[in-house]
Amino acid sequence: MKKGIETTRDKPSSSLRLCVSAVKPFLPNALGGGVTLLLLAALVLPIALVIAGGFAHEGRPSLYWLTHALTNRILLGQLVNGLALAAATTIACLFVAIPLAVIRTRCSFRGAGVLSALLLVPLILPPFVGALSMRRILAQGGVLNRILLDVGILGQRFQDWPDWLGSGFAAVVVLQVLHLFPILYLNASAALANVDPASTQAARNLGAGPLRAFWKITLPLIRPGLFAGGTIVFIWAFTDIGTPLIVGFDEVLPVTLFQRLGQADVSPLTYSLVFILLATAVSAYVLGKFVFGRSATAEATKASIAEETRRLGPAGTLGAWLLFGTVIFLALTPHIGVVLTALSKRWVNTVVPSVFTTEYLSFVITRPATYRSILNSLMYAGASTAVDIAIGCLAAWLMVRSKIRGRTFLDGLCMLPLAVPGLILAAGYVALTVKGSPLEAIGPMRNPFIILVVAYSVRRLPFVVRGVSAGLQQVPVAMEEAGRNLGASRAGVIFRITVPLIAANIIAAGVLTFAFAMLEVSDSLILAQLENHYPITKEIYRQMSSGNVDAAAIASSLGVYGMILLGGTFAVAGALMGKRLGAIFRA
Amino acid sequence: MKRIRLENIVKVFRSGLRSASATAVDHVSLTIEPGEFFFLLGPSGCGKTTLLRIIAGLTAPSSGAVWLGDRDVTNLPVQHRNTAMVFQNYALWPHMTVRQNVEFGPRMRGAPAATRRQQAADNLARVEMGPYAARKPNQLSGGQQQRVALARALAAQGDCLLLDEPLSNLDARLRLHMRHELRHLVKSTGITAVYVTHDQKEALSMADRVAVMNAGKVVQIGRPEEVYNRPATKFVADFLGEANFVPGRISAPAGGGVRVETAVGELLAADCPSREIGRNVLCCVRPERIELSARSADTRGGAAPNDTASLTATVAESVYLGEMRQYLCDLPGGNRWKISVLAGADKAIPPGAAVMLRVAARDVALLPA
Repeated sequence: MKKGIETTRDKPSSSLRLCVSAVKPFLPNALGGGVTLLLLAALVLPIALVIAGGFAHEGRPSLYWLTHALTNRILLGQLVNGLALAAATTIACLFVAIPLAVIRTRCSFRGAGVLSALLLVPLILPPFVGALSMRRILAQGGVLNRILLDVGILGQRFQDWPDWLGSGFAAVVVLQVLHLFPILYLNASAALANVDPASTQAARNLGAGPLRAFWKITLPLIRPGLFAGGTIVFIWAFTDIGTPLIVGFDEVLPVTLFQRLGQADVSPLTYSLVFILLATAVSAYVLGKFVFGRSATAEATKASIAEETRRLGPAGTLGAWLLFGTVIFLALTPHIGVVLTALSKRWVNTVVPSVFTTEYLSFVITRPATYRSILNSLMYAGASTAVDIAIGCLAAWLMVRSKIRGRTFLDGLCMLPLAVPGLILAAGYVALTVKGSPLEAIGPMRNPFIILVVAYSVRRLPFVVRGVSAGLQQVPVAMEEAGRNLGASRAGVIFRITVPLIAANIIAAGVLTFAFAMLEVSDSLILAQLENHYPITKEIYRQMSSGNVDAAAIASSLGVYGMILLGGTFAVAGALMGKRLGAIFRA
Repeated sequence: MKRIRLENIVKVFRSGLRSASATAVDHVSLTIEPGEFFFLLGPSGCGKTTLLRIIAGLTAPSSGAVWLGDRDVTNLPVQHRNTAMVFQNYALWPHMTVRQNVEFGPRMRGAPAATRRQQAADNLARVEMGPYAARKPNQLSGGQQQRVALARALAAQGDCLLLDEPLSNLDARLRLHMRHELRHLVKSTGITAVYVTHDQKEALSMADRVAVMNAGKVVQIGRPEEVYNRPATKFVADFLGEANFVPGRISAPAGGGVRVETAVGELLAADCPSREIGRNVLCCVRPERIELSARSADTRGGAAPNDTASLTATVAESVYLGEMRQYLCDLPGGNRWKISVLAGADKAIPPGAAVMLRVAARDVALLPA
């Protein structure tokens, strides 16, 4: 065999091989440059166009529109409303998520795994779909008041019944919290799992009680993890269009922007609003990452001893079940409402539908418009997932394994979509494909396939980069070196060793990306303006705002299919990635 | 099996800032003979693993050349070097079975399926892991994983075998057992092997030759007995085991050696690099090479053979170590020496007792002052 090796090696090198070996050292830098350019074109350029649009007046650079926007009391009020909404949602999410995460990571009790998995279920429904059913539940003539009437708390006089949705602010917060707290739960759990138990034990040993040890030691250590998740929740809530639209709480900037961006001629004022929204979101991201997320990072503390979980007795288990159960029940209420609405033939003045039917579920997959929206979504999501996997894997590999110049910049660029709301990116694509521009043919008013795929891809790229990076970081470099040492080429090592070892991460990131793309709201509502290009979420929105008698049932049926799809993909991703799933939702 | 020759190897690691750099390997030149079991020994961070990785092609040297046989392989990519390496954490691929792991090297070198199966079986049998061929690495103990890693490296039929602290993850008992087994296996294949370790006992008990490294440089190369008994520097003497040091000055020739005046008394040294009278030296004496007796029981009454120095001391402390007993003795000039004696049934000499120390000339190493 050795002879064979010598023979192969002693072959004279062809000019092609010489060429390849000359190029090889520069390949990682070239690939890094390529990915950077792609991201600059797909992410930075559209945003730059939007910003530039907001800073031009009568053909010259000017702060006119920005000043105009910032002195407009209505718009400022909307900005403040949005900040208040996002702050309230984030704080409420922290209050819900931290106790659950602490109990889950520090205690063991029967059924903990099932309850923990159920906590993730709320992620499988965009809150704006849940908003429809929440309206049915919490409105003045809703299910809750019917129940209160049945148990005798409310009287027969309808005018005296409370409208639990109120102005809509609280309803939006509640819906967003019920949807988004799992992101913080995943982050808090991951951060807690990374804290060295010895650090808390040392505090206890020095006289701190459990609460004091948690407050003084654990909380500071998990703070970066909490803020990483908190940033995502804050920006998500701050820029959410769907929920305020459906709930009817229009006094926030995203809704105003949505209405203005849908117009044929977009004014510079709209672009300056986009800038304000972007500046606020980026400030929140920077604040979260570099101010609160700094100092003692949980990741920096490596466990020196194994965590001993506290085994809960019957009373403790009951308490944990009650806490988890209550949160899960509340979080699943919108989902239950959507399923019941989709199955209801008649639901008037009753707690549950009086007549059930599956005709709407069949109807949406046989009616051309709704069926086409499902197909469109599958197409957009499939294509964007393929793009994300290709670029995300390459970017992750370049960042974790190579030593190319500008790695930090590339990392920042890949994570930037977390700070840039979909709404803003969509505005960027509108500006890029505006009437008269060279890219008009792929604009919202013509055929938005390409910009929708690009928008979906850019928005979900951080999930793939994070997921694959987490996998790569867990594969010791020595495993790849061993392959190279035994004669495998760089490509051979990647396909025979690295990819099989991180396959779970790639698949999990892929299914999550696909699932999120299927139920993407902001980009879909703004970039798909023609009916035959509508994705599933736009079709749901159209149905819900149509005012038809069956609109709620049809929209809910589409929501049910979305939930089934997302639920399935989350189950697959969770099974593949286990606790590492939380790493995907990090800023 | 091939000769490995390193010519003036330098490796400088630079951080992002141009000004910040660290020299891991500093002008190292050495030759490892075909079939030799060669050890790179030194403390953490001395550059021994970097040097091994440079031989493997996993790290590129900043300057210098690596020769494998009569071939300059400095710029040859790692996969073409044909050096089989055993990694510190074994680097067994968890998604492959033991057999697939071992077959990987032959597969990469284009061996037909039947051949590589045979090679895997032979090498697994060699390390007594044949029955575990179908298992995954995570179903094996640490010792078993270590054997599989060795089988995988041997099956690659490399020109040399590189071992990066392969026993460091095993418990003390297994490590001891594996030392002999590993040496036997490596020597039975006749392959040129380079072994990196920070454990001097491992090096002394397994190596044909040892290169002791410190701060990126090779301080001394020699057979285990040479480096232990005739260390070139205080660092080598200290790193290879316990030693007593005392500075002195060569006062006169004595037979084939010299007399050395020290604060603890006059010492004789048989083997000395220089006989220059008046030269300052550092005397080094291993604790187990000192003969200790209670002054009252010393029947020779202070008279010692011509080639042996006698010193007086007082026992300060006695430590029982199982097979050995170590005495800490105070000598003139504020010196405290360690003396190791076999712990027999005799009663230990109590602290405060006056003792006589005898040091033979052949057991005194003279180092640069």
